[in-house]
Amino acid sequence: MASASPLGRVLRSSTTTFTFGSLDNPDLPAFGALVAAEAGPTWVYGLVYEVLIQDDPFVRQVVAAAGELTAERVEDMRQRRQVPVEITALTIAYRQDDRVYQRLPPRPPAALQPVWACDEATTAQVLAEVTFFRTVLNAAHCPSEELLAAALRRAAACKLPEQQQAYLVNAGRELARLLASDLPRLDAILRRLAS
Amino acid sequence: MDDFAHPDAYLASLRAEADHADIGARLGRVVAGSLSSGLEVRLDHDRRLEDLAVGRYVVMKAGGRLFFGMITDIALDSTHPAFEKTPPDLDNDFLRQVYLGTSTFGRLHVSPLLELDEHNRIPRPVKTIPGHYTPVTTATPEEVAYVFGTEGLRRDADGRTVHYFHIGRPLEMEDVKITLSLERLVARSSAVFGKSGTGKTFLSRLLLAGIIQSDVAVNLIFDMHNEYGWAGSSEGATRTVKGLKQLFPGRVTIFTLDPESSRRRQSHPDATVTIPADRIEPEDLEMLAGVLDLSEAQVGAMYVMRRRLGPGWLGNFMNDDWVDAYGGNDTGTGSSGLRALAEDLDLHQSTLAALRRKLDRYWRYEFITTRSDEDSVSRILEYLQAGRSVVLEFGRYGNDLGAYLLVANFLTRRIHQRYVTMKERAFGAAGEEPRPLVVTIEEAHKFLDPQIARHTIFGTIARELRKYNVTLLIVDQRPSGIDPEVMSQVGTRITLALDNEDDIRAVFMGISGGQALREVLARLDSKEQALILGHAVPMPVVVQTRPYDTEFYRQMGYADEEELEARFQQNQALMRGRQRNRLT
Repeated sequence: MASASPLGRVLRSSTTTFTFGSLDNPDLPAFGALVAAEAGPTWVYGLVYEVLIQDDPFVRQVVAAAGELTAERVEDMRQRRQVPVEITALTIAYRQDDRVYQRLPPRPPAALQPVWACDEATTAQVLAEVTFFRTVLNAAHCPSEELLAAALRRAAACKLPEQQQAYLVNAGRELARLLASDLPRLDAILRRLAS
Repeated sequence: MDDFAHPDAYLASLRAEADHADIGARLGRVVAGSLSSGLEVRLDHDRRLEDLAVGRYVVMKAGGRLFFGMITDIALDSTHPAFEKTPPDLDNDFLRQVYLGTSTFGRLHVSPLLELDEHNRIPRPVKTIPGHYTPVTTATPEEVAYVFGTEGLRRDADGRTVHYFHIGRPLEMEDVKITLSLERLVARSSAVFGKSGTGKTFLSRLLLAGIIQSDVAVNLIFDMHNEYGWAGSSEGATRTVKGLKQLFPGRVTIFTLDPESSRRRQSHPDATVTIPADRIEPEDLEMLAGVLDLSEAQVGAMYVMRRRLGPGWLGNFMNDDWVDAYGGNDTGTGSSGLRALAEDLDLHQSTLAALRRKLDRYWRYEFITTRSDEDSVSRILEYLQAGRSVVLEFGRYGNDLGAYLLVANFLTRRIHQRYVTMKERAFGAAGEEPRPLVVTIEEAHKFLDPQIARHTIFGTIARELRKYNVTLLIVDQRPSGIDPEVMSQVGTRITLALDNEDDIRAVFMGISGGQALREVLARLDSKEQALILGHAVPMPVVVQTRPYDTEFYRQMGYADEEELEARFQQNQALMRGRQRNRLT
């Protein structure tokens, strides 16, 4: 993993998703970003699809007081939160013995495992196949069309500029094949890839 | 827009694209189909339908075999019917790139024609089809050339030496020669079809030149419009083209029915054909029943007269003096002679009177003579057996269908009769095999109409194949008018453009899988493009026919005067050189 410090630690996980907690900071992973956590002998990869910032008593008090808030105060409040920002990723692949498999991992990451952001090379490698399209499209609990479009755009961004369009077109054709019988959905994703 | 600012550059780029026309490139994959109904090929997303055409060859390699097929239909398809009703937003570049070719795509219908085993490389008819998702590529010129082989003498798959005649080139392949086997062409009856003005005569003359040059058969050509013998008319700049006799002076003889017309046209006829009246038999006239509007009773009357009055029946019957004097009546009393004749023959007088009226026009033809010593049949036969093809010019009678039918039927019946005798004698080891004979008839549907085909000699020849070494070359514009039974015996069908649905259907009668080629036939250019299918070619082929021009003359061995002069000078110089050498 590229960065020196993890994004956060796992709060809870299941075979299909894992949620990790993090401080509210500008480096929070973006929607559609690829993150990774270790689970025994494997690395589990997920696409970030939900960032949840919950309230806590202090925030409620400050908001209820309705007084003037200085920028320093707000920043201080954000840094010293009692509850972390919860970020949930959809599991799409895992790595074992240095090979990437686009399927669900044997077991999810355990609680408190550090979660790392993936660099461009890893993103490109993990998203190289198209098998995960189906995993994303079948995920009922997440905005799968938005997520797939975001993930593909990020994957494209990992390519050389002259390869990006071709990558997206090929991905689009694969989607056209998968969603041949669901044209509104296909069109929704392709439009999100288009501009 | 820039493209139009430089039209030349634009055209050049288009042409470069067309030249590229992706010969040998992958088109798509086989996705469905059957041996009987043909294969469905889904086009790859980067292939454009606009670059394709029906009639083009494709190749599929699978399981150690090379399958040849022809594109017989082109269609648009999509993965979902909604694409027709609600087209996607194609203004968006990305969406267009994704959808076109993937969700909406082109589909080809390919008729499998032939397979080549990769080991022995012998073309065979297809007995199976390539499996799912076999890649389909356009055939390369080399592959097409391999199947059709080279021009000239060659051994065929059965080890026989066969003449392969260059008939044209495939569409979009400049340097490939399509050849057909002349031996196989003449082994069964063949046909050249096409609506008028498509070049039937040119193509037939081309084929006949090939047959004469290679000497695989002698020809008897009933030249209705005087196009084959000395010179033919052309719509091109030259106005006239050389006929067969100019190309093969020693091997073609011109007979004429109308010496005056032949002289006017300077067609150098070798002999005039006459038909002795006392040789005409009821069978010769029976097939004219349609043209002459003869009733059954009238046809029957002819047979009765032939039986009762002997060989001179027709001459006598048409001779007013003879009829008037019949039964000892005085001349000049008009119809009483005819009444006596009718009573004698047990026929109605009105039948005989009507028959006389109807036959009268024919009786006035100049080629019908009362002299019985002239035997045109034997003369023609002598020429044929000496290996000289005979072109019979009809002159002004060419526009008279009755004359054409009468003469063609009269001569062919007798020649065929002699062939049967000769063949049977050869079979009994008592004589030589007669030379294979090809009889060329135009307006063939008039002879081979389902009503009369059973009775005419042409129907017989077509049906008995080459049993007696006589076959037909049928030249016609209305194949639907030909008896289906005859049609099914036609081995090789060379078809130029046809419009009429019935005619198109008739061309494919009796050819398995032929219906698939209908679209190909219906889309032929109106000139000089032909679909050849059947016995003489390994697989159906669309050709751009070879031009009938000076280059062709030269290949047929013709040398014009200048060339002869040049050769003469050359030889003379050579001789002089030798003499000088000897003297010094």
